[in-house]
Amino acid sequence: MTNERSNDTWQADLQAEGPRREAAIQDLLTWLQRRLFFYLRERSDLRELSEDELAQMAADFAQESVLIILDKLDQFKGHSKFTTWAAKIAVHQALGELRRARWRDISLEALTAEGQLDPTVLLSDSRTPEEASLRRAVVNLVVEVMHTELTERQRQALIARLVQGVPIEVLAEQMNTNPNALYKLLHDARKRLKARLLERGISPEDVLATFS
Amino acid sequence: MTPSASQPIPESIAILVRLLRTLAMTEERELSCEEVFELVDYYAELQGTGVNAQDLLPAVAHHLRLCPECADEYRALMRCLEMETSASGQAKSGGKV
Repeated sequence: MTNERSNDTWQADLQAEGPRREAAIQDLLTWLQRRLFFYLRERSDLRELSEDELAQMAADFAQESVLIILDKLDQFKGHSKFTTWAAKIAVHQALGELRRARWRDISLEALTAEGQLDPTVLLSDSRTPEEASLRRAVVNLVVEVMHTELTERQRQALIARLVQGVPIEVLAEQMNTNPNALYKLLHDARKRLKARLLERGISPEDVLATFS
Repeated sequence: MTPSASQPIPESIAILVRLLRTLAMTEERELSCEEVFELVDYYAELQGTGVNAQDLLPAVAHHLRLCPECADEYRALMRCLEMETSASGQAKSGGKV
């Protein structure tokens, strides 16, 4: 039974051979499948799917996850329960696939289109002259700093991520890099942008307060 | 006049606010998604047992506020764990970051 296994037992059973290993794999598969189904059923973007379709999706994700977990067994350090560690991997696998499916067929050009950072678009909803003036100053500065201080790749990544909301692994794939390197590139871009705004006397917190 | 809570926030303002909020949260040193992934199971268990995980692992909490995908995965993980705890009669944690 799943709940009766200690972390050590999970590892030993999954590394054993024959029926002992098969039983452990089946228990893990069932445990993950039930929880993924429970979670997927609550997602608003999957509401149109039938219970059978969701169950199949959960089964597929669980199956893929178990293969990954077996492959990474030696990386389990015991900082959490084994099942929590396994669930983390399954959730990462499932949600990653859902994100990639949602953003499939979208080109890098479309992801990094700067249209929504156009000052005229950003200012079109201002309701008073004072509000328009403040936003104009901030937006113009942000756009200027993005074009003068950031590299082309930093600018592309920041727009895709912050403006378009593109998931990091999708964007990394499109930009021929990996999520870790992309996070660092984005972090550097954010730090630079923030520093330049502060140098010009504009604090993101203060501007945010005017929108509350 | 700023938009009230009852009015929908125009998308263009939402973009600017999102950008400013992200810049406001930007720190000199941050954990990457990969580093947070290594810790998030431990973080989730702490949170699930009523310990204030945000105080113990503030860098993880910070990343979860900044990264929508990691936050989404953390909430999903909490829901999966809640299924276990609710089955055994324990209290739900609500999946708070």
